[in-house]
Amino acid sequence: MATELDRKALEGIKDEYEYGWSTPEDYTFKARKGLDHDIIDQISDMKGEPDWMREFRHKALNIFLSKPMPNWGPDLSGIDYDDIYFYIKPTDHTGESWDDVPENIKETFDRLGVPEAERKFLAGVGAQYESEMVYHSLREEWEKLGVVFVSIEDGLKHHEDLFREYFSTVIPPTDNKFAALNSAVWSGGSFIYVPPGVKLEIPLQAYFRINAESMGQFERTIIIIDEGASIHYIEGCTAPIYDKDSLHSGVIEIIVKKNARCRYSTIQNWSNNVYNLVTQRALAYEGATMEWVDSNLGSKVTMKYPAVFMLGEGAHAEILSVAFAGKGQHQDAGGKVVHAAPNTSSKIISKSISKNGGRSSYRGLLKVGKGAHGSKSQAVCDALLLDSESRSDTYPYIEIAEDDVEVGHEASVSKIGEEQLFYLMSRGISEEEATSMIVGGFIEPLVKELPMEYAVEMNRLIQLQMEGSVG
Amino acid sequence: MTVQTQVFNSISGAAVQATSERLQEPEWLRLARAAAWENFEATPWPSYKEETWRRTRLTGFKLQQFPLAISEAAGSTRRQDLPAEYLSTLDQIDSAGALVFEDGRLIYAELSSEFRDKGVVLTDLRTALQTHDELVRAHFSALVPARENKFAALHYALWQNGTFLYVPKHVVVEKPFQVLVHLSAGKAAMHHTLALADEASEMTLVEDFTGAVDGMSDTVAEIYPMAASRVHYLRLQNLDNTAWNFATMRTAAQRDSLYRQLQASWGSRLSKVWIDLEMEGPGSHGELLGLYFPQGRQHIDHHTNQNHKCARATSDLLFKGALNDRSHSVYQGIIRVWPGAQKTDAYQKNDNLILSAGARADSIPGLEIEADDVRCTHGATSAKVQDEYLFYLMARGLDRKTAKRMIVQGFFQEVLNRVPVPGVRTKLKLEIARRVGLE
Repeated sequence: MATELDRKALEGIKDEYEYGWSTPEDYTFKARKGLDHDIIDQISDMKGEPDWMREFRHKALNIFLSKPMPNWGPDLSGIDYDDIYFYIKPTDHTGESWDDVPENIKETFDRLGVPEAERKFLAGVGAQYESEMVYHSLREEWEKLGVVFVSIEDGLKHHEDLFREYFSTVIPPTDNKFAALNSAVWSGGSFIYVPPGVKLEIPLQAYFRINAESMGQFERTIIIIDEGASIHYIEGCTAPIYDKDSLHSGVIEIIVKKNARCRYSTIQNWSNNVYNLVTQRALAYEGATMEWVDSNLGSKVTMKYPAVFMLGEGAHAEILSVAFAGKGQHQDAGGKVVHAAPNTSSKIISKSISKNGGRSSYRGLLKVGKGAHGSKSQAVCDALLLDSESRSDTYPYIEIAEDDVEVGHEASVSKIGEEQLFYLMSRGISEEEATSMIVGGFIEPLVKELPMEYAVEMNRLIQLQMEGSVG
Repeated sequence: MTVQTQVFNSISGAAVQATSERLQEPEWLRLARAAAWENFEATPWPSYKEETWRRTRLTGFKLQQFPLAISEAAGSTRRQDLPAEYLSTLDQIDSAGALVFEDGRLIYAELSSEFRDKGVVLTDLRTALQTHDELVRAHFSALVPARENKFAALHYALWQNGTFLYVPKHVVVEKPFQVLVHLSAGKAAMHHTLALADEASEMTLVEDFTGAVDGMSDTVAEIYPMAASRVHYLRLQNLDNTAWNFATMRTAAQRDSLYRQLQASWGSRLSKVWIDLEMEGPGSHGELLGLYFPQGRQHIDHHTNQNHKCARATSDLLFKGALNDRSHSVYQGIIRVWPGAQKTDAYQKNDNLILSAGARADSIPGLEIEADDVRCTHGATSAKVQDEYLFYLMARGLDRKTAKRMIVQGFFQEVLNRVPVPGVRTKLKLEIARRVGLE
């Protein structure tokens, strides 16, 4: 909630995007704009990849070129593939301590508060700048237990067998146009393996930063959690404000083995000129739990539907999604749960807020396949509209092919209740503050799932978004 | 059969022209038919790539195999001479007037003299073209244009006859009007429904569709509740389980009107039904009720649209279905609130009761909201008969089968309670009981 102190801190910022600054470009390699097979070879050369990966990229590019743009959802006509840098290498190597990171990049992450966060409450940090991870570190105690947390390139280099076993098995390039694009030009991202029974009590985090204009960032992350293990992974995304649009299209593949547990939290705060088109999917085996905590605050257009395929008996999925669409933004977010094994359960909670002409859409799939008897699923979507120019949509898809199930979906759209406002204002709280408090309460279910430090950050971001929304 | 009649009754451009000539239609209608046929030909065949057809495949459907059901001039059967099954259907409802169609031919018509004297018109569309040319021309195809979808285009190119109902200003008809539409085996038939409720009038229309064994029904309904009118439209689709059924319906509710529609989809091997409710006037209230209970391999697909174009209108939708055997149901619905349609209150709910492991229910409720001062809610559920409910009833001495039957009947009761015509309610109850007993 907005205390006097917070308000002071917020003064002068007003509706502005906090992370809109950029640092000068000073890169080791910058591919020319546009996308073709030559660019693919360049990327593959730069990375010194095995032939199978080079081949995979070329095939994926063909799939990308042959697939039409989606004929549903947000307007993507602003993406000009010829005007995007598909690969920018900011530095020669991945640092393992902050001192190894080039000065100008370090400055960026210092301003984002990353090193500080790492010292305080993270088990490990990865930081991606343009196309490459510039920093990766994992606390020694976890490393000793056999936890792997490296850049995806190092994953391929040093753990090729494990990498090959899982890479592209959860999300093949044929899955959708943007998964194909990512498969062709992927660069950066994390490779994580948690051995059986290892439970990381504090989170791992990756930061993603786009710095250059007209940049395309295509990180690829693989997370494998072995039996009985558990982790919490957090990603944060920011970018400078430019006139030209940037494209971010990640692919995240997660395998949660028997009785393992994974929570993946996203605080997406791209600037309002980024197209954010992400495919993320987890496979949950017997007794496993997968949780997506997804908050989309920034970007121009977001299309992101975190998915969980429950493949083993008793698997459980939870998706918590919060979207905030401000001026010129379209947040097309949601979640997919597929019940493919008996006695699986899932829960989707979606909260969206639209203001200043923003549009937020919930798009969800809830599917119970044959044989998934005893499955239970509940989806709840609430949308808040803060003014008459804004828009909210709900498109839940429910497909049930099994009789022994309990499935429910409910959604509501409303504005902030006059009575609620009146109640708070009659207690001497200003309209702006009262609105902010009500919105805070509205997204409470998400915020309370985040670690304390992030909950505070999240509340602060929401308040920033809310500044000047009244009157 | 001569070569000429074959052209005449096949689904083709020649038949479109032949129909106009045979029925000696006015120029505007002849042009409308030709344009609709052009539209039909220009519209690609439904593909699973289109969102509306993703879950409904027309596998095995061959349009050309159905000869057109050709309507002759209106007949004049007396009530007592009607076949027994029509008579018993007519007797189920205490009506203010009735029409019976067979393959587009009006074989029986009645209208109480009280309402005829007040200016009520209940007749077939062919006759209305002669007697109420202005009214027909102003409203026919004005709500559902031929370009609406491929099957609407086909309908307008080849329709033969239909229901025409007009209730003048301030005339209140409490008893329902009843229309029976029977289609004989193996034919393609296109029944059109045009119902106009003038200002502050009240009407109830019950339409019953039967037959079409191995045939095809492609209907369009256009309903006009004018300002302050009250309109109930009950559509009972009792076609044979081998029929292909396509229906496009639209209602435009004007200010302070009350509209309630029931769609009971019992028959057909495949049904693709679009129901569109346009809230055009402030203070109007619309309700859409739906029932389906497919069995065997029946496929029932409903598309609904609650389109709030104006402020202060309310709408409420409840579609309930139980699924047996290997049947498949699709419900896709959307509530759209246009910019400026403040104080809209809209609700949408689809419940599915899955009675067999081979059945499949897809439910896609949707909201698109562009005004902020609104209350829009929707819900969807799918579940089997709850064990606790069964246990409760069985603990009271009912056997499992009876207990299950009662639970299914109870499930539909929520819709039945809101059906405004007692005779129809009884009829629906019987049909549900019959289907529950079939398991």
